[in-house]
Amino acid sequence: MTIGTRDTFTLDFLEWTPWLERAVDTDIDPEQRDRVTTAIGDGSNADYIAVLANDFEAWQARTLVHRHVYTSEEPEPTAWRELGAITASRINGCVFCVSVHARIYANLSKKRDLVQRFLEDGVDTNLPPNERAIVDLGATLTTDPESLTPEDLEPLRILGFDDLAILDVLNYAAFFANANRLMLTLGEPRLQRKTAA
Amino acid sequence: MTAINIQTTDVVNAIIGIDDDSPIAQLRNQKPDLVREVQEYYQSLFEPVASSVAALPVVDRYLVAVRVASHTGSTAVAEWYARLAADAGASPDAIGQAREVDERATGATPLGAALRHADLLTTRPSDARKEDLQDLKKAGFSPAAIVSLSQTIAFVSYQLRLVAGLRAFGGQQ
Repeated sequence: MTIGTRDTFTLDFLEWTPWLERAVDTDIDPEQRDRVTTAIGDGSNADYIAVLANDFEAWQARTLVHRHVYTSEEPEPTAWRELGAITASRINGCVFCVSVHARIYANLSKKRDLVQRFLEDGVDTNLPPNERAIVDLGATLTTDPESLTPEDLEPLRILGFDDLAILDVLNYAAFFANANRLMLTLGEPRLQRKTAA
Repeated sequence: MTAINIQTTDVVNAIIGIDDDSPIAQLRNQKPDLVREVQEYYQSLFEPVASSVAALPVVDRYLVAVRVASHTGSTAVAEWYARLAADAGASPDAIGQAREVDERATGATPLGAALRHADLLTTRPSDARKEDLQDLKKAGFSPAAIVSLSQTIAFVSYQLRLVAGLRAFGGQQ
């Protein structure tokens, strides 16, 4: 069996092939078609949006949560929450999500080697204290959320994280339980098409 | 169980069993837009517009939510949706079957297919294949219904972890 793109964690840019009709491929009424076409745009994730737009209201509502989680300035975007997102995505096996957020993490943290090793070895790889604490919390939230207790937050508190920063990590990692499941089950990643030099 | 006398209109707070002015709610409210947006995401799926209801009945969404939350033992979240399912007319048997995650969901009904899809997405999402969507189509699901179902499963997967994470701030309640 060939190891496909969907099995190989990478920092490279990936694209995504839908498994389901895009909303514009179905027999929606003209007014809805206009709304959907305007909303989809022509970005690199247009096909993903076009599939989610089959439930337009849920897509719109989710987009606000997604955008907020992504762009919130309070607290400011941090490598920590990106590492939480990568932890969830690595455990769930979402190669596409890992690729996007590993790049953001590498840019914010300047620790490209660390994240590359994390992608290869997984959550048990050797990590410095802050990274270890984030990954442990993200992993527990991902695999056994009901086991979380106040003690699970202590390692981050000891390292100087305040409540809002801890909630930011938790919320961001929690949201990837959502993002991973949609990305993994409505389509699959593919390597970016080579463009002529 | 969720206290009935708590003062909140926010579903996450209600599931945790906290008032809007509790310390955990105040922590959340440091990002008020996000609190509102999570609530609206919930409403888009569980209080959907008529065209979306036609694609996937609300009572089936509640039962799927019970299933998702039962997989992680998220009792308070499962209880929330079980109550809604009962209010919407689901039988005790149907709710019991949604809770029994050790038993494979059977039945050729759309609900049976929806519960099996919930099992797959909740416990082994990276095993999903294109054929799984074909199976849903064979059970009568339109593309809109498949996306509503997937969003329902994905939303509850987020919600139950947000609830668990917030509860870990405990002690301050």
